[in-house]
Amino acid sequence: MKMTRNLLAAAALVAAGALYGFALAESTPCGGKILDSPHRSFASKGVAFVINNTVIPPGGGLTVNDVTNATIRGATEWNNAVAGLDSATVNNSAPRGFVDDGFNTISYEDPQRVLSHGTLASTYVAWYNSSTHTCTTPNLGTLTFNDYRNADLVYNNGLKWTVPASPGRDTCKSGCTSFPPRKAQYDIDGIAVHEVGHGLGLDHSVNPADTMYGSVGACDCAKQSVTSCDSQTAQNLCY
Amino acid sequence: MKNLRLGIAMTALGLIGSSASAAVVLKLDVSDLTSLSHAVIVGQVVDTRSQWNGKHEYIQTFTRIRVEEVAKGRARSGQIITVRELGGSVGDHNGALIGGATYSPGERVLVFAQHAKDGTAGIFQTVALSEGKFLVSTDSQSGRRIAVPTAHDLFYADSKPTMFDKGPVDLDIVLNEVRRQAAGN
Repeated sequence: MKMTRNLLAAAALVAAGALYGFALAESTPCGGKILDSPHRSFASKGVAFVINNTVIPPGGGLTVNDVTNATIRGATEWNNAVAGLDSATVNNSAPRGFVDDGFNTISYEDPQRVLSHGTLASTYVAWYNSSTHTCTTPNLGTLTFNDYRNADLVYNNGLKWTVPASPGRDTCKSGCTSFPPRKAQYDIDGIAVHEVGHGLGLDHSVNPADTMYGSVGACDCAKQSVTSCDSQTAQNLCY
Repeated sequence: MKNLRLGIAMTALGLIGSSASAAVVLKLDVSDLTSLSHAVIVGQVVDTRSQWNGKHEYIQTFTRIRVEEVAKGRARSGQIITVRELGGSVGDHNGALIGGATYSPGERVLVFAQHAKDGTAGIFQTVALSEGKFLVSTDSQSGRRIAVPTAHDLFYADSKPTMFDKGPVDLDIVLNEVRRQAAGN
């Protein structure tokens, strides 16, 4: 059933692209997509993310370990797609926030106070115009990528988070609140997978089941695993 | 009207297809956007300027907008306000805040803006990244102004319906709703 839905969604994207003329070149056959305008990715595997967990976001009784472990697991989930692609470790001397210094960091509570209201998390990426690599992709032909030199992920303050009951279980820790909206909690593990996917060079998928799909609900802990389509799309990043 | 809306929808789809990256935002309707904003204005983009921030941590872009109409806040028609967003280009260096609002000179825009969160006086930022920026266009058949959403590559937490789900909306309907919300009705 899920596969049928995904195929239908991919077919709809192809039809919409043919009708409206938007770029389909970056869409894989399953409906995943890599970033374009320009294509961007790190030039080689082994992308290292560093987590500064000196400040953790509020949640329903979450501990530093809860948040840290969920973030590490989410950030490194892409190793299931491309072996050796990325890693995440804790280093509390790493700069917090968005700092274009070549160190890929994950931090909490928007220390520079730059994220606007309504923003749960965001990633700042940086690249040079003059630094590129070209390769032949499995699905998208020969592409040239601008080389990322930095990708930093920040979780905003003023919002509440939850974590999965246990990795791969697709359920949130007990007590997760989805209503009222001001108390709603969101899965930090699944959002880490999604945002790091962007940090690596992936765009949104058309398939609601994919981690790279464009929305997630409160107390939705089912987006913590890279799907087969996410994986197929990641193969096109060319390391 | 229908054809124009289709054309605008096609343009919006094209923007989605070619845009950069993504951030996680709450899905906001006009009432939410209004309550989070210190200023809601219609205006025309005068110019943009990108530079490193004071600590050379990231590139930021300042956009000057000449105010034409105010739906909420203290701005006055004819005044120029400045909106700051992360990302931009300085020489060979590029930076992008995923899903952030970007502005181009000459654009006519509806902006839901909040005071810069870091407290910088006289500087605004767009609410909820690109979710708080709309292009203002004119329906060639009816002559009415419409607000075209520019939200791109945003990762929505929640999926509640909003008045923008089907594309462009009559600008006056949006502005009236903003004024109604701002008045506390």
